[in-house]
Amino acid sequence: MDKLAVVKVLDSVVDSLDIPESYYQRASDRHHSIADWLCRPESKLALYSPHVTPQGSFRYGTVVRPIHHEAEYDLDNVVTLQMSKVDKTQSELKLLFGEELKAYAKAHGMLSPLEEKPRCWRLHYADEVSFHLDSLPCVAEEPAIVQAIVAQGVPFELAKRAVAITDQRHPNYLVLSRDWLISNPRGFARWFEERTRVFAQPRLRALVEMKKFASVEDVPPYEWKTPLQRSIQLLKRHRDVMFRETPELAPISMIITNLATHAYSGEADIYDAVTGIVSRMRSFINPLYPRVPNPTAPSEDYADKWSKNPLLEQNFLLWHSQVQQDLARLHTLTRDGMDREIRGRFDVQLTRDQLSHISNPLLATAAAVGPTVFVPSAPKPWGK
Amino acid sequence: MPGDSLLKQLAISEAINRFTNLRLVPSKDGDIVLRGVIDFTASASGCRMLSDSYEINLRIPTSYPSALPVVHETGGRIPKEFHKLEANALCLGSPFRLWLLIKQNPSLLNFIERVIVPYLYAYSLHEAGEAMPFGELRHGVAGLVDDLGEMLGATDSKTAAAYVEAVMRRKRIANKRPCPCGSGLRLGRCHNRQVNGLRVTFRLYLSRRAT
Repeated sequence: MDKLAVVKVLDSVVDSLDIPESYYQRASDRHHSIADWLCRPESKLALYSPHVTPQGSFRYGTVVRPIHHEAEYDLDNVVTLQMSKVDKTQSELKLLFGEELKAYAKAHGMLSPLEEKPRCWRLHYADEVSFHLDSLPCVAEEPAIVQAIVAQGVPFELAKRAVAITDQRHPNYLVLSRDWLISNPRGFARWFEERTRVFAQPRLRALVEMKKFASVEDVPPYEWKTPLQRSIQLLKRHRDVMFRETPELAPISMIITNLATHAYSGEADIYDAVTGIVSRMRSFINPLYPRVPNPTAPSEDYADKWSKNPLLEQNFLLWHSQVQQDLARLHTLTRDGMDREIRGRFDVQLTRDQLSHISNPLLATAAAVGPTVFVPSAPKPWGK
Repeated sequence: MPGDSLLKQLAISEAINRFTNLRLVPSKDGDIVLRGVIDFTASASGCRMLSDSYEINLRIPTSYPSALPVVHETGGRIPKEFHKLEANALCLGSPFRLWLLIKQNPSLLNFIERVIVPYLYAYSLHEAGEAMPFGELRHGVAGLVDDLGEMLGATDSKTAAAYVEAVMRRKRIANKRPCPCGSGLRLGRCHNRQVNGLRVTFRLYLSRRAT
C-alpha cells in the first residue's frame, strides 16, 4: 500500500477523534465566567487581580473524544494571583480560592459538590456534554526565581510566567514560607504554541482567505490542526485504548504532549509526523530527575511520579513499544486488516468510503501464516 | 533508564515486530505480559512444514532471566495431559535447558522462535497423529535426569543417571570413578572436560535459579 493511503486513513481517524467546535467555545465561556466571578467586587480574591488562563488539551487543541460515552471532558485553567508567597500559607490560599469557587457553583446552580484535589479544585458541570474543570490557584513567582529559571536557559518571555503552586503534599503546605512548588503551566502553553504556530501558517492563511477569521492572530490553536497536534491526538487515543482497563497506569497526556512537541520536526503529513515523533520521543526523557521537565521551568518534572512508582515508567515504555509497532505495520495491511486494526487500536470505525482507497488482495494467496521458522533443535517438552 | 533494563534485555520491539499479533498489555506488577496470537510456519529436518496459530498469554517475570517466562495457551486447544506445569502453563522443556538457552540469548524473539514455536509446532504434529520432531521427556525428575545426561551424550536412562551422578559429585572424586560412557577408563582420562564443564554451569544454575 502506498503511504498516501495510510495518511488518508490516519487523517480520518483523527477527524473522528475531534470534538465539535462548539465544545471549545463552551470551554472558553466557562473560563470567562469564572474570571468574571473572581474579579467581581465582593470576591475575596479581587484585590489580587486574578488572571484566568485556559490550560491543557482544550488550550493546545489536542482534545480527544473519550472512549467511554459517559466519560467527562477535562477542562483546566490556571488562576494566577498577584500576591506575595508570604501573604498567606499555601493552605490558606487554597481554601480561600475554594470558598470563591463554592460560591460560584452555588450561584450557578451547580449541584455536585466542589471536589478538592492535591493542587486544584474540581468543578463538575452537568450539561448535555459532561465537563469537569480543574482550576489551579497559584501566585506569580518572584523575580529571583524567574531569574534562576532564565539562568537555566529558559527565555525570559517564558520564564516570567512561572508561578508558585499550592500542594497538599508539600511539607510547607500549612506554614508561611517562601518555599512553594514552582510550576509554569502558562509558560508551557506559550512554548507549545510558539513551536506549533510555525507549522500552522499555511492553514492560518487559508482560513483567513476563506474569511473564517479576520486575521491569523484570531485563529485559536484548536483550529490550527497541525500534524503535531493531530499526532498528539492519535497517540493519546492509542494510549486510551491500550489502557482502557487500567487508566491509572496509563502515560499521562502532559508527558505525551511534552515529548511529542520536542520530537516533532515539521513533517508535513500525519503519518510522517507521528512515526517521526514516536521514533524520537524517548530520547527526550532524561536518565535522572527531572525525567520529563517542563521546558519553561526545568525543576518541574511531569514524570515526578515515576520515581515512586516505577510501574508508571515501565508502562510508558510498553505503550511506546506497542504504538511504534502498531504504526509501523499499518502500510502492510489489506482493507479488511486495516478496518480491524483501526477498530482495535483506536476504537474508531472507518466508513466504507474511508477505506475505499485500500485494496484487498484480488486472489487469496496461500501465503505462509506468520513468520517462517526453521527449528534445528529444540528443548523437549517436559512435565512435572 | 531504570525501568528499561528488562525491556532492553528482551529486545521486545524485535519480538512484536515479527510476531505482530502478539501484543503488549499494561503491566500491573512489573511483569511483562504479552497476549494474542502466535502465527507461524515451521519446519524441522525430517518433518513437514506446517502453518498454525495459537492463542497465547506470555508472562515474563520481573526476575527474568533467573525466573523463566510462563506461557499459557488460551484457546483451549492443548489438553492438560500434554506437557504442562501447575496452573496449566506449558512446560516448554527442562528448566535447566531453558535457562541455558536464555543465558546464551535472552531476547524474547529467541525464546519464541527457539522454544515456544517448536513446542507449538510439535503439538500441531502430535495432534495430527504424527511423531513429535524433537522428542519429549518423561515427566518428573526422571525426565530431568535424562535431559541432563543427554547433554553429555547419554542415549539411555541408565547412562544418563550415571552422568548426572558424576556431575553432582565433587570433581576430585568424580574423576577417579569409571567414566559413565562405558569406555572402561576413569572419568579423569575420558569425558572429564564435558562433565566438569557442565558441573560448573549446573552449579551456577542452581545458585541463580529463582526460588
